[in-house]
Amino acid sequence: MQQLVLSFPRKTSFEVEDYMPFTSHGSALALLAQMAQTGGMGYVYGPEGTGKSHFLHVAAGRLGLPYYTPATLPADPTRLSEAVIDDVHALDAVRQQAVFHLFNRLKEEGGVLLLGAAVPAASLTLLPDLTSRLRTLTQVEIPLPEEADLNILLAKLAYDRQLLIEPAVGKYLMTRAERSPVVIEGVLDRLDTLSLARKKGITIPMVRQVLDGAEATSCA
Amino acid sequence: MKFSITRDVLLKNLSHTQSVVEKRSSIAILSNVRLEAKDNKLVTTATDNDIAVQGTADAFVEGAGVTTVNAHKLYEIVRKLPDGVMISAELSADGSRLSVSGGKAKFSLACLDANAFPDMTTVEDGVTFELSGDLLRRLLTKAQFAASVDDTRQYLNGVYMHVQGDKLRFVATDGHRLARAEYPLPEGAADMPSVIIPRKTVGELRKLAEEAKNVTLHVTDKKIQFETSEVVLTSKVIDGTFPDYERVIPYDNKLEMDVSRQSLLQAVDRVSILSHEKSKSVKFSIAPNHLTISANNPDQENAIEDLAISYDAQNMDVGFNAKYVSEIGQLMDGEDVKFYLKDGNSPVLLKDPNDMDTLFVLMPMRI
Amino acid sequence: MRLTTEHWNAIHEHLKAEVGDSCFESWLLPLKLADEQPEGNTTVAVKVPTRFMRDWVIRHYTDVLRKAIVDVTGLDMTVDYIVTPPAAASAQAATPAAKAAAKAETAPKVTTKKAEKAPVSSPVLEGGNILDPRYTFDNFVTGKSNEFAYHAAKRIAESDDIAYNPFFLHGGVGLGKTHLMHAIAWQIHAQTPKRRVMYTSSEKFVYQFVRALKDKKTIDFKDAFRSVDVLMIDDIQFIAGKDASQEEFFNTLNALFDQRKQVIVTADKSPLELDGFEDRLRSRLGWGLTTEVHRPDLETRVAILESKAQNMKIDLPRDVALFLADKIASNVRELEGALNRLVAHTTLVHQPITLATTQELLKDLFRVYNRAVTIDEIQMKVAEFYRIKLHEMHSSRRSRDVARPRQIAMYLAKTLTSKSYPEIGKAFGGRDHTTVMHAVKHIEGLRDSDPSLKEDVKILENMLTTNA
Repeated sequence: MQQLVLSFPRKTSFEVEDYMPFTSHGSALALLAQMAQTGGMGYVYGPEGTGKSHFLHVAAGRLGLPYYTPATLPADPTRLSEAVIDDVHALDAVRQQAVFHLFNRLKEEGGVLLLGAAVPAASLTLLPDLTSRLRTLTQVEIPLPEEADLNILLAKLAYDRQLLIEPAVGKYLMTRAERSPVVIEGVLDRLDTLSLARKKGITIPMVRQVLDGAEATSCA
Repeated sequence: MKFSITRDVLLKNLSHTQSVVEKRSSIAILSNVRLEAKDNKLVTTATDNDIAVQGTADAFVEGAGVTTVNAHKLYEIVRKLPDGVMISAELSADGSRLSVSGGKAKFSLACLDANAFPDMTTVEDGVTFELSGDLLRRLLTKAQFAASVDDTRQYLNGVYMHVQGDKLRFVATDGHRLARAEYPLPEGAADMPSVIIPRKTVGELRKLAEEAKNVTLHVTDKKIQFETSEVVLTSKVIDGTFPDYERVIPYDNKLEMDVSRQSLLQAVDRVSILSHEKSKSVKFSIAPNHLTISANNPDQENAIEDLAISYDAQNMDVGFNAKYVSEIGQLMDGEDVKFYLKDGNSPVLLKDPNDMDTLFVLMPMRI
Repeated sequence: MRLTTEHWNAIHEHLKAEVGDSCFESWLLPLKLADEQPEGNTTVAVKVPTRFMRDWVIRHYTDVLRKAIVDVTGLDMTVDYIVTPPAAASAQAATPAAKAAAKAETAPKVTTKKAEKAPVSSPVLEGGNILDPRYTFDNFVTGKSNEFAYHAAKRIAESDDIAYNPFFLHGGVGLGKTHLMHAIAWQIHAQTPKRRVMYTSSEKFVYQFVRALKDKKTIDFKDAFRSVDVLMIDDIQFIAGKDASQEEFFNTLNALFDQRKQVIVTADKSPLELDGFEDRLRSRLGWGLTTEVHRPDLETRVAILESKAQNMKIDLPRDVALFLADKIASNVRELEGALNRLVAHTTLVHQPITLATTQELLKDLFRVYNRAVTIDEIQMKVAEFYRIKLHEMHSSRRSRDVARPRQIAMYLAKTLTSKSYPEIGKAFGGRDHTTVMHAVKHIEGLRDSDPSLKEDVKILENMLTTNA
């Protein structure tokens, strides 16, 4: 029989002190610095796991604007003003309208708007009117992290989970796991559970077990 | 520095302080106890840099002063001197030696400069309130056993003390089980920062609380201090974030099972003799008014025992670590143990009908 | 004393040497000296971009950082970390990345994202930033051990005709091969600025080649390498075993030879001794002039130190120079490193360099050689690796999760130390020598049948024998 573990919810901090300025965020940070000085509108895109949402939270703080996701964005355009809006690719029809009107208004009056999405504006499939307008924005990408950043990312993800990963163990993991943030995050979550079940810190054999997908069957 | 003190008083005092000294400390001064004589009091302090214990005792002080000597040696000397003898101590003029005499025995101990002794006992302004020693000990005992011993998860290596509404709560978990004890919020505690008290501190504190009528707590977000009439225990708190434990407490578990506590403890104890040596797994086969506890091991041996229970829902099999069931059962006082279950893979809530302020969550083993 | 940027840069150099380039760049390079430094000489204020990084540095680098500060300043200072999020900073100060990106715009045309960050092999005479200004012929100290290599390199640099192709320089680590290569480039630059020189390491060559294959830009790659007048490849030995890259390199060589372009190569061994190289490449590399840089003799080592001291305008007593030269015989880089530390320290504390301070300051340096593994270390590392308690190494518990690691530790004790079976048994809680023999045999057997275990043992061996 194998001991099951309590699954404590994980808190994600979006505070500015916890923000890690990955190399891959270079152009996004440059855009932010520019917007903080001269205002205007911007569009930041990149796949899941790159820290885009954290960046947008930090940007909202720096620009002094509210941060919205499709779930928190008011549907009534009159209640909307200058803002940072994440995941615009996932806006529903009503909110696409709202953002459309907001966009037009801010364009006219000269306001600040920063949008985040998983894909470049060219690949958006929103209201054609909105999409075509978003394509005119200054766009920067937060790409998938490269080599050095990935190692930092692993350390950061472990830190966020209060997990200790010895350098040798981390190195082992990074040379064997698929080098994508989402995969690394998944591996870490499984390692977290496995080490909690065994009441032991994370070891290289554990990493091997998780990567082989064999952790469920063996009980040591 | 020159003072005299009765052996029994000093022994009691040192027994508190010296117990925090690490046997093998890499920093020499941490093996020492700090002795300060003034105003007809002897103050002894020992620390491991995480916890400091300071005891104050009446003494006859002829010359005020301060020094440090090896804690275990001094303790052994005092312990082995006869009851009731008067012990005199004097620091040499150059401060390098402390002579200790009692009866006909004389000792000369090497000293280290007290200036190098870390000051752990100063605590910045925090929240101060009082609890009875007995209550504090009881609350800690109910929570503490569930704390993790895996030193790679510091944030679980202690008891989380915090304020929840109008309650003072003590929570500990190792991810397999969780214990939560609470008590109406004492006066003055409302603004207390949430802290994780390290396991070692909790251990020392339980000893201390046992002897003290009242304990005054000073809590800051970095350190916590417990003060009784004789002893001040100061400890760093664990630098980490305790998990959002409320989310794993299964308040909604509908299936209630009442078991006689003694029968349960005895049955689990017997059956687990033949359980898997390492995992200690036992299986609970639950049916209306009937519980069967069974176990088997890789040597093809098995054990089985039936118990009458109060339960009127569907049949269910749940596996548990026998040790965890016993530990929880032993912390209860009532006739029965109340189980609130959902299924074989979900957390189980356990309560003591005699103490509904305390709850335990136990994670099953996958059968 | 308050730390200055110069101190901080010196500390960075120490850290880099201590932890290696990639760890340094990930974790320690982002630490910046705060503008406001506290009074007194007990604390250094350091800016760090995020809480996580602060905690990481505290956990992993406290000792290293402290030692670097002591080495540079002679003072044992504590570090006060100030979390300074980059987004809160001014626009100019953005991030290293932004700066790198900005730099990339002025660099020659870039084709891949990776190249934007590190324009590794841009022609040095155009970018200019790749050559180390210290590495010139003037700064190269000659002695019996390297005279021939020096004159050969000079000859190659000064003459426009291609008399020796390739020029192959080989020798041990830190003896000045790279120095000579840079010096050649400087000389060519000074003499004939329009000659296009490309300098790269073999690792970068391989990386760029693989990248070009992936991006289907091999034509660009070939053009880049075949259009230069002088191609310099440092540390060619790292191309060993990489067949496709060797093939490409071989073709590049031939193309350049045909066009009568100079090729200069360094390696740790002579062409004939290079392992993992195709025969035809080995023989082709030996066609030109092959020169070995030998270990400098004592006299040359002293001369190197004295010349360096002169460049730094410091007074180096003869007995100190002799002492250092005598103690550090293996390589010039360490010799210079020791001198740098010595100078950094003595200038900071305003003390003259004496033999006594030298011996004191550099004592750690003399200790690191001849690293032997002890059974204690093996037990500790293995216990840590499998997360079992150290005392289980001595205990009699036979449950598999402690018994297996214990056997592995015994195996490692046998293979990595010169201890006998009975001695090892004694170190493992007084076990009989037959138990140890059994354990060693058992692990040897398992190593063949259990790939996981084989890997564990390999990792442990590496951990024990490589890092200090």
